[in-house]
Amino acid sequence: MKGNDHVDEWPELRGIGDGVPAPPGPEIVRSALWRSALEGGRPPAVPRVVRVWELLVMEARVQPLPIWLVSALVMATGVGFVLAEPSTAVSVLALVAPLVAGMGIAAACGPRDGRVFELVAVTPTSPRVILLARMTLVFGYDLALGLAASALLSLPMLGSVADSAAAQLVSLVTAWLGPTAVIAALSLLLSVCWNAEGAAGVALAVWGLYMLSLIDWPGLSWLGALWTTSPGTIALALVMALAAVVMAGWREPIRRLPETHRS
Amino acid sequence: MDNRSVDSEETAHGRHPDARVLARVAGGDASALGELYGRHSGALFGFLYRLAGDRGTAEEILQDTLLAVWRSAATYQGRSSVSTWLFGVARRQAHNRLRGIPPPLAAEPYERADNVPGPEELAVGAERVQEALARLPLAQREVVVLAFLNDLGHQEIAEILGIPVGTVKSRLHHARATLRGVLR
Repeated sequence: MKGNDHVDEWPELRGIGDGVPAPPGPEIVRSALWRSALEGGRPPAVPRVVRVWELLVMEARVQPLPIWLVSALVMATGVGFVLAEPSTAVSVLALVAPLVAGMGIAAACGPRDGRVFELVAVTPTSPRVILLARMTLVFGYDLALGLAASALLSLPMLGSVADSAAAQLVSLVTAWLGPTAVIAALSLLLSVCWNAEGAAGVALAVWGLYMLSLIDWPGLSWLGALWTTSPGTIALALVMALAAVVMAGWREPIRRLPETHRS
Repeated sequence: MDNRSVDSEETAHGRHPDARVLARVAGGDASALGELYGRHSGALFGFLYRLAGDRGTAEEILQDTLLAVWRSAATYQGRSSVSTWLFGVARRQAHNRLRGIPPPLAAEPYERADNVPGPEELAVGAERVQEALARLPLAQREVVVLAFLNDLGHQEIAEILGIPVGTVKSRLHHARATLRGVLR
C-alpha cells in the first residue's frame, strides 16, 4: 500500500472508488488543443532558434515570387554590364544593389493577395516580429545577391581590375553596402509610416538624385556622403530601421489599408 | 485509476518515461499530450470527479487541466514526479472552477447499514459518499480524495497541495469529524 491511510479505517468513505465513471476518450485532448489554438496564449516552449527558423520559412512562403526573381534579374543585369565593362564594377554595384534593396523592401510591404492579409491579420505573432522576419528575409536575400555579385566580379578570370581578388571584393562591397542599408531602411520606414508605393517612389527619387549627382548636377554633392559605407551611413540605416520597428507596433504595416484605425 | 505501475516503470537511461513524454509535450508534440493523458486519465478524472461531484464539471476541469499542461509543460523542472505535478495542475484548475460554489444544504444524516452491501447498495453507498464529500470544504475534500481514492501518502499530498505534512494530517482529522457528523 502506498498511502498512509486506508479506507477500512474510514467506514464513512467506503465506496469512494465505486461509481467513478470512465474518463473521457482522447477527444478531450483534441478539444484542449483546439481551445489552445483559438484562445492563443503561451504556446508550448519551442527552442528560440527553431521558432525563428519556422517564422522565416513561413514568411518566405507568403512572399510574392516576383520579389525574388526581379531582384535576381536586376542584379544579374548589372553583373552582365560589368562583365562587358570591368572598370565600371564599383559604380554599377553602388547603383544596382541599393535599387534592388529599396524596391524589394517596398514590394515586401506592398499590396498583397487578400488571403495572405487575412492570414497575417489573425496570426498571434506581433506585427513587429512579422515585420522583422520579413525584412530579415528580403534584406538578407538582397545582401546575399550583392555579396554573390561582388565575389563573382572579384574573380581574376572575370576581369577584376584590382591587384588581388580580396582587395577587389572589399572595394566592391564597401561601394554598395552603406547606400543599400540606407535606402532599404528608408524604404522600410516609409512603408510603415506611409505606404509601400510612396516608399518605393521616394527610394527611387533618392536613387535618381544620386544618379544626377554623378554627372555633377548642382546642389547634389551631399548625396556622395550618403553613398558610402561609413559609421555614419550604417548608424543612419539602423536608426531608421529601429524607428520602423517601433512604429510597426502602432500602425498596421502588414495590412492593405489602416482599417481599424479609422472610424 | 492506479498509476503506481506507471511510477515504477524506469528506463535504462534512468529518466522516468513520464518525464520524457512531458518533455515532448513541452516541445510542442501534440501526440505526446495524448500519450500523457492516456497514462494518467483514470487517476486525474477520478480525483476531479470526486472533487467536483458531477461528470460534466469534472470533464470541464479535466480539459482545463490538459490546456494548462499543454501551455506550461516547459515549467516542469523535475523536482517532483510528473504524476505529482499533474495532480497539482489539476487541483489548481479545480479550484478555479469550484471556488465560490457553496456546499449543498445540510440534509438528514444517513443511517449506516450494518449488513454487507450488495451491488445496488454499493451504488447507493457511492452516492452517499459523494454527497458526504460535497459537504466538506474544498481544502479538506481534496486531501480526502487524494488519500483514499488516489491512495497517495501524506508526503505526496503535501507536495501536490504545497502545504506541510502536518497540515495534511490536520485536514484529514477535521474531515473525519465532519464526515462522522454527516454519516451518523
